[in-house]
Amino acid sequence: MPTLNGYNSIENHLFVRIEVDYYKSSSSSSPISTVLRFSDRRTPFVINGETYTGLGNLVSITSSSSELRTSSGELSISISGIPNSSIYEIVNSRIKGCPVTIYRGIFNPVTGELLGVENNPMSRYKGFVNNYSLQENYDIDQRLASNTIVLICNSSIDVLQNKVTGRTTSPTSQKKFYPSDISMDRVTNLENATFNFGAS
Amino acid sequence: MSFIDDIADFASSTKSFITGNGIGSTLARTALAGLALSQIAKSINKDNEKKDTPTDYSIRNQSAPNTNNSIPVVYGTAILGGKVTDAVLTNSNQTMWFCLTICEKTGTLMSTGANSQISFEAVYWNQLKVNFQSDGITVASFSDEDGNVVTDPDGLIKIYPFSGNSTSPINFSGYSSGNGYYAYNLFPDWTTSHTMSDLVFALVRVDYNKTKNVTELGDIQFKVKNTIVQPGDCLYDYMTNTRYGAGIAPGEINQ
Repeated sequence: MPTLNGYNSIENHLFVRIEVDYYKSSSSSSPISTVLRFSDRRTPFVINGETYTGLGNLVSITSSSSELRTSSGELSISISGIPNSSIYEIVNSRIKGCPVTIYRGIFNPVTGELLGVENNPMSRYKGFVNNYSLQENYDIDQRLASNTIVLICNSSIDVLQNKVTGRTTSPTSQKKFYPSDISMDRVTNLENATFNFGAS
Repeated sequence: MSFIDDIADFASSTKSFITGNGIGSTLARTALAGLALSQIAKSINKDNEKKDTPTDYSIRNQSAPNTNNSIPVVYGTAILGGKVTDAVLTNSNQTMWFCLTICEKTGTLMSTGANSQISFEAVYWNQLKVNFQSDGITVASFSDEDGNVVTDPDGLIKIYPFSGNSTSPINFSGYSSGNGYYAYNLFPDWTTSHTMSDLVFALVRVDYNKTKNVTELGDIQFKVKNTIVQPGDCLYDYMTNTRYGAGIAPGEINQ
């Protein structure tokens, strides 16, 4: 298998895959499960039988850290050029919480073909859409508006740590789950309490 | 069609091909590996922390009553102390009762659909193994790993294990007889509202005897065993449980 050392110049592109379980394309349509696939290439490209729409410079992805062990990390994906007519889809689809996978593909800049090096394209990031924001860009001269969506993604670690619950040995915590259970009611009074065990 | 297609059209670049498809499947393993490593890292870092760092309320040792004590979750087998959640002095100051809350009762096994069971495999008192009389609840002796036996506590300490709530008494493993009581019928002043819901716990009765050196609650460690052992069962239970886990809806988890 050739390595990157055999190439004088390379070009890399990012491919984003977002699995949306609840996607509504219009107010009258029923929600569907779909997968959004796009890349910062200018032309569409097929990876593992799935076509990634080329959005070129309309996509911007912040850097992510690469560590030996799995760690928490935040990453933002900006997509520009969204027409006003598509805002409904974003607002009414359940994008928050959707799994996100980002791949990096290394290409031959001359032929535009994926290089035949090992693990190409490689997985760069796996996480979830934690939140998103919409920003309107209004062109006064053209009387046209487009929008930018910024998807804020968190790794699996972040999501699990955010959602971790648990009980403590306090009456409040116990009653949160079992309102009529008074088993922990005396813990507060027992803190720093002393007993004359054995006193006659 | 999705908004990605509209962007592509807007930019006059390409035709879009976004279509519905099956969902990739490695979320669970990624999360398990990540979470496990995160916990290991935390554990390592814990050892490096200075002594003046805030109290860790999630330790496995026996803890005095404190409303900040976390109730742990046990998968597989673990040795851990209980959190004292009630204590009563009775019998003219000669008998003390303690309630030691040990861990959460866990859910069902994803692999079989059966309810998980947590059993008490052994008990240790100040690092010594507790041996019971034939009734399975009254302490007969302590023994160390070299076979040395101390019979001083004989008849002075009783330990009643429960797995689930106040009405789920169980026996210690290896004893045919044992706890046949509801917790609120044992513990002084408890009523049927002391349900200890979804908790694994033990009631300990200690009769004071200075001559026999039984004058306080020892450092009790329980070896408990959960039937949830397989990694997939553990992860699924932890991810879906809304009481002590991540509370993720089962439908959001890829099988």
